[in-house]
Amino acid sequence: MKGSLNLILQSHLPFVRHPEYSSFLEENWFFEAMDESYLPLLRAFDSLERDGVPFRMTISLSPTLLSMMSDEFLQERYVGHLKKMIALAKKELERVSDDEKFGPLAGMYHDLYTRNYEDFVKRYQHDVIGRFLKYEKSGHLELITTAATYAYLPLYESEPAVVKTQINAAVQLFESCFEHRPRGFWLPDMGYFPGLEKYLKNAGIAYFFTSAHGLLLGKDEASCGVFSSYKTPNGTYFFARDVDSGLVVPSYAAAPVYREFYRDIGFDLPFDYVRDYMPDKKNRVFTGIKYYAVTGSEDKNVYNIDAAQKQVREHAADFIKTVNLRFEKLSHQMSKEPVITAPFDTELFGHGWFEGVQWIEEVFRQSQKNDIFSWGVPTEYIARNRDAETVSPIFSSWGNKGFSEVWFHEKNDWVHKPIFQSIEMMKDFVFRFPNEGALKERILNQALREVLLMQASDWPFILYNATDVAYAESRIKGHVENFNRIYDNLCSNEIDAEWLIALTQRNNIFPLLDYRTFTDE
Amino acid sequence: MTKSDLLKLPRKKLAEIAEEFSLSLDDYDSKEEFIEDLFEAAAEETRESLKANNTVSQIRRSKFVFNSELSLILSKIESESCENSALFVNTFFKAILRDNQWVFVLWQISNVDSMNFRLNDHDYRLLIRVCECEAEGDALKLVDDFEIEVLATDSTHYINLPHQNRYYYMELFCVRDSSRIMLARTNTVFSPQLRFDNSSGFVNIDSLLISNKIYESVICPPPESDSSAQKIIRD
Repeated sequence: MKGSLNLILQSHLPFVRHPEYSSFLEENWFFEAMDESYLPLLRAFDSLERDGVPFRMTISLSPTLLSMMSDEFLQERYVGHLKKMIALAKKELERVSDDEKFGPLAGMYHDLYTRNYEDFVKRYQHDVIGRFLKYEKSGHLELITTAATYAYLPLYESEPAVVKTQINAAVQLFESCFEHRPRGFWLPDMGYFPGLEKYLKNAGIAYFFTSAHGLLLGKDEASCGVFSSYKTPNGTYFFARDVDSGLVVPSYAAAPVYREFYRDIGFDLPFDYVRDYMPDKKNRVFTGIKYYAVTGSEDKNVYNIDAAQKQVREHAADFIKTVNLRFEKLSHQMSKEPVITAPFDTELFGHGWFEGVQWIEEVFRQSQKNDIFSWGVPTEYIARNRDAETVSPIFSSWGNKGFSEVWFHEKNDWVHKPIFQSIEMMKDFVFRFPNEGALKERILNQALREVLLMQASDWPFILYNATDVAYAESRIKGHVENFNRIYDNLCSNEIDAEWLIALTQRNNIFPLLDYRTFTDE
Repeated sequence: MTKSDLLKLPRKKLAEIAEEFSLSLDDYDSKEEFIEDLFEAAAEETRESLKANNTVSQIRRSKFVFNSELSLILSKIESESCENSALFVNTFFKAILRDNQWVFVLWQISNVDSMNFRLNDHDYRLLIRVCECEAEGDALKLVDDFEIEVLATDSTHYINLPHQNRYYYMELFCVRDSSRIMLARTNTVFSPQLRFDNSSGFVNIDSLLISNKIYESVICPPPESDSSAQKIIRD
């Protein structure tokens, strides 16, 4: 073998859970990711394992995603969603059964949702996390974590309490799910600042990932470019992202024969027909059933399953060929084993790029007999290459323009002041209430939970991209309001127990959180 | 605040204070009667909070300190702008690096400083002193500084950093008449010098920079809208 390829899938969704409503549109983010990415990915693993095809990759499962996957309330709602989707797919199957183009597509969706139901309810008994653990135990996956609420950590360089809590709470939750501490850490949006490794090391983290420019534009020369691991001065290993892989894989998704994301029967069919499948029965939203191909023009072709499958095989072959060529070249340039680190958002596969999960499976199948490169995980590469060079990466991210511009825009920079105010107040709480018990301890823990939730980088990201602005604003403001009310409760020494219990039941993430740990020390 | 200060307040303001102390202004025939009870209620609350050792409560109540020296800080910070309603004991001033050319600063002037320096009348100026340093051994040596005037109502600002490979910290000053008081200092940030050495030939620099759109931030100045009118006062 001339090198190893680290495929990294970073899986994250913000914590969205609204038991106070009978249904909630944004909970669909989780349901759709389960429908199109996570359950199909687990099925791909099943299929590869069944056929004895070797596969290896690293998966970061964010604490918020894990919390939603393990939440009984959301699990029940997901089952309800699946039943509704099966009913809609069945209705569609009846509507277009005689149509030679649409009929097979309705069948495909009916099959997708039925299999999701069978797997989630009967095979996994709602325990998706257990399924990931199974594949970790079998040596196929290396599971890692990321910041507790996916806070963009360079924002909090001056706040050790925040960085420490975002890392430690994540490690604690990971450990409760997987019975061991994570070895690796996915920095949200690859946001790195010098010194971050100190917190990672304290939490027992052995390695993390940076952007390519975070490594290459710094003051130290990285003699192997992005094709090796490096050590920070404190001995924490890191891998830099391979830019070319990051460009080529998403480019596949734009192929004309692949399924078009934006043509959905939620908008294409008469409202009366789809009304019962809309969360509020009033407004159109995507259902997940989409019949058209990307095509490349306004006039969309009907999606053709066979053509898409053929394209998947061709793209898998192209990827392997490209990677082989690169490793051939690298093996002549480097005196040590080259590694290519290719990180992607998990939801690119399946949700963003419908055929993406099939592509992953196909890449593993086609590379079975490949003798140029092997699929690897960071821990193994580090074990084989302990003599990594010491390099200091620079402040960087994989966000637009490579630094923190995404989080400092006129559309979203208002969020920072209330967040930093809350951080100051929370530190003040810890100072003033060093050892509370009973209800006061509970309200202080909830205060910290609210502080962590308001730090989620998802909300300013949504504001920056102007997508679900109203919801993102409501989330930031909601957590600040909750924190303020806690403050008022503590000031008046009168805890509104009924409200507090309702709040702790609603925002029930990180049950083991201890407010006393929120200190700069 | 003295009784005579309170007497000067409009009825609406007094009603707000009454509500804070679970009193109703409507129950009183005169402002004087109400103010007598208000003082008693405030004293009682202070005793209660001391008994409960509830220091946060004590601080909260400090906004209703009735003496001749301090101003009455009445209103909560408006929640409309999604800010916290707390009373801040210490002024804080934070610097967050946006990229290697811009830093975002935010500050919160504490209620104590507001009282001490009488900042609630907005008859003052705020200055940010930007200090540029270079490393000298383990210490930082000040090599340059400049000042930026901001509005008294501002609490955030973008600052353009003149040089890379330098350390910066900022100081927040309140200026009234001829006096100048430093309220807070930020953390220190380091603006990295971006350099690329591809002598080993492993990476196509154009692909790297363009794909990350870093080229623009390295070479081109940031957009006009981000500069937020940096008014620099140089010595």
